[in-house]
Amino acid sequence: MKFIKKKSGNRPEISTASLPDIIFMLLFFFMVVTVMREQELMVNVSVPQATEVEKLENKSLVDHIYIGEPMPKYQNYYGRSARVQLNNQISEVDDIAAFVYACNNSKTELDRSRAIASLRVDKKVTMGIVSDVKTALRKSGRLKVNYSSVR
Amino acid sequence: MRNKQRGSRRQQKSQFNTSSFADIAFLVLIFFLVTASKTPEQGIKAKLPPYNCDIGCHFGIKERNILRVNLDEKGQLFINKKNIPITRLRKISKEFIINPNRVEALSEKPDRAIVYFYYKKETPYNEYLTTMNEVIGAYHEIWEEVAFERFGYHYKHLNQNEKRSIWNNFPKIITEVEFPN
Repeated sequence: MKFIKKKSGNRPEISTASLPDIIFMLLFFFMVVTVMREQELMVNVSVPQATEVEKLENKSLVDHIYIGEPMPKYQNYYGRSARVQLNNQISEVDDIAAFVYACNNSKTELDRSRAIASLRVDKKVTMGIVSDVKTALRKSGRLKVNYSSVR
Repeated sequence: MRNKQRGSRRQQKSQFNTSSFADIAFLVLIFFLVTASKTPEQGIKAKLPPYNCDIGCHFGIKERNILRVNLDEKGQLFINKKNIPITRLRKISKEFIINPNRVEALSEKPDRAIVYFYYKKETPYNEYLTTMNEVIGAYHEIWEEVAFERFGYHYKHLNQNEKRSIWNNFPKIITEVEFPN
């Protein structure tokens, strides 16, 4: 075996063939990490600001309840006053009992006691409907709530 | 010479032009980067009282142990029928809970202090939450101070038992009264 130094004048170009592979790896990472919004928002929600916010760690324990004015395209049908959205449809306050029941059914015994109802409520909503929702939650035994807000 | 030239030609033919491949992958990558909004859910946590236990659950509480926070239809804040700017609420509730100077009108002990929240149907949710935020913030500040006094750490670095010992002495009791007359 001889080790002969190649002349530096004849330098080969850097191969970019592996570049797509790296990009693909990044791509797959982000594809896995990205969680597509599973619910289409039908009500306008911009949550209020607060300083004492905490993060919700376990996503599987959180059930969302949206309250706000229906989006413009649904206003013909649902009117302009604040409504409650459960899952993928605008619902009545009375439907919350069934909603909580369905959410509980999909959880284990242990998770049921730790489950949190996240209230994503628009700033401009008045307390009337919020308090109705809270009463419904209390009736159906879901006592842990989270008032969604931004710092 | 001829042989060599042929060889290089063959190599060129067999090479697949992959440079546009990277561009396509980049495009898709950027799409996913934009859609991957990794904003974790955050908010103010609260525990609602059980349904069959309204205000009746707190019988026989001395008047001095209750801080009555009133929100009217416009979201204005009243304590003892006095209109108070929201920026002062945190200090007021802290003073009420700890009562450092043993004032007659404020709470006897921190673990007996209760905050009553009154609001109307028309009260804006935004004002409700910012008010709630201040009261909870008062408790958080107290816990932080106590944690430093007792354990010499920040509250968030304490373990569950240490936190519980603080909660026992400074429990966060907030009750809501909807639509009082």
